Amino acid sequence: MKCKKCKQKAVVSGLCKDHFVKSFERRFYDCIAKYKLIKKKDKILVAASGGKDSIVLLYLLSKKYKVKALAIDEGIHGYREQTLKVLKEFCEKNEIELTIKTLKKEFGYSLDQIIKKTKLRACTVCGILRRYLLNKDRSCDVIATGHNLDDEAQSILMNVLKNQIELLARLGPKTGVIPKKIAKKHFIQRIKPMYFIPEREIMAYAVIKKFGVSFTECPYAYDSFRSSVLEGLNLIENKNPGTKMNIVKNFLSELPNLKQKYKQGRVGQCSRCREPANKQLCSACQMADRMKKLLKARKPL
Amino acid sequence: MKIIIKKAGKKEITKKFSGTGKKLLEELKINPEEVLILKNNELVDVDARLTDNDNIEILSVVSGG
Ligand code: SF4
Ligand SMILES: [Zn+2]
Ligand SMILES: [Zn+2]
Repeated sequence: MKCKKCKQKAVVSGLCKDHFVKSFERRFYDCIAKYKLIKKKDKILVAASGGKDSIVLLYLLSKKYKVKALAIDEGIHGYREQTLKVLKEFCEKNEIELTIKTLKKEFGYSLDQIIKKTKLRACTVCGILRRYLLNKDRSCDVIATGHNLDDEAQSILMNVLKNQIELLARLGPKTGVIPKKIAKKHFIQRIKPMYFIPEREIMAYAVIKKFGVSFTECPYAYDSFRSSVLEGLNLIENKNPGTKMNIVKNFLSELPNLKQKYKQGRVGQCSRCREPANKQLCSACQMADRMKKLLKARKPL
Repeated sequence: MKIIIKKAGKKEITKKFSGTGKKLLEELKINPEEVLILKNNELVDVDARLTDNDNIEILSVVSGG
């Protein structure tokens, strides 16, 4: 098959290497402009894991903006070491400042230790503690994450299938339903510059640019519901190209109404750590208390 | 044809095959939406013709974690 724009061989999405790279980068920066994700003087923190999404995100943002990377080392044996190695090498080569925070140092225990000693679900603990550490970084104006079109289409569909429509209001290229005035103090804007880019194209871009990619998978990655949605969506997309984009576009046209309808009320502060919280304690401090009890540890978490 | 499948680790298989990438994926029961094909280290479209002398890598694009 020939490229749609020239006589070279097409390699992905009907385009040759050169035209694909151009189209990919144009869509990336267009999304930032269209949704006003970044202001000129913004300091950007990239939540990086070393996976292909965060590497491509870091690469394209650092070409035009000032960025720093923050990675959380949860302490997942046989997995995180590998993706962090890729990330460290990438940041060194591209002169990007990288900070790595470990759960062990911040909370006293690695994820592996917590899971071994408690019956808590790995992804629940991991998600809460990771979000907490990201939110704590106040040296930036926005936090960019590597969420792509596939992630978003899956999340939308999952919330619909589980009848959790109110959670839809939290999705979108710019997240947070917290009113602006309060948000400034409590919540740093999250942005998803790869919002409209399919996962397959991100991998193609990483391969063409010869970024190292690690093919390990988190041993705890077992959200069976997300996996079935992912698989089903890919089957439909293969037969009906454009399905994922349709889901996301459809959702975006409804998002203003959803935000209006499910406006989050007043956001308080955690009485212990001053992070945003709906209850007296934020979810991370609650989690820490639960872990402490379960681990019967003398050492405070 | 030597085929390396990279998905959460590496798997290597040898198989007699010539035809398009699409056909190969069909035989391996892999959804083209979830992978990329490298032929002799070069990214190729699923319509590309593969012969028995090629080294093929199939990269999973689905990430976990
Ligand atoms: S799969 Fe779960 S445990 Fe593993 S990194 Fe992702 S959220 Fe954490
Ligand atoms: Zn071209
Ligand atoms: Zn707290």
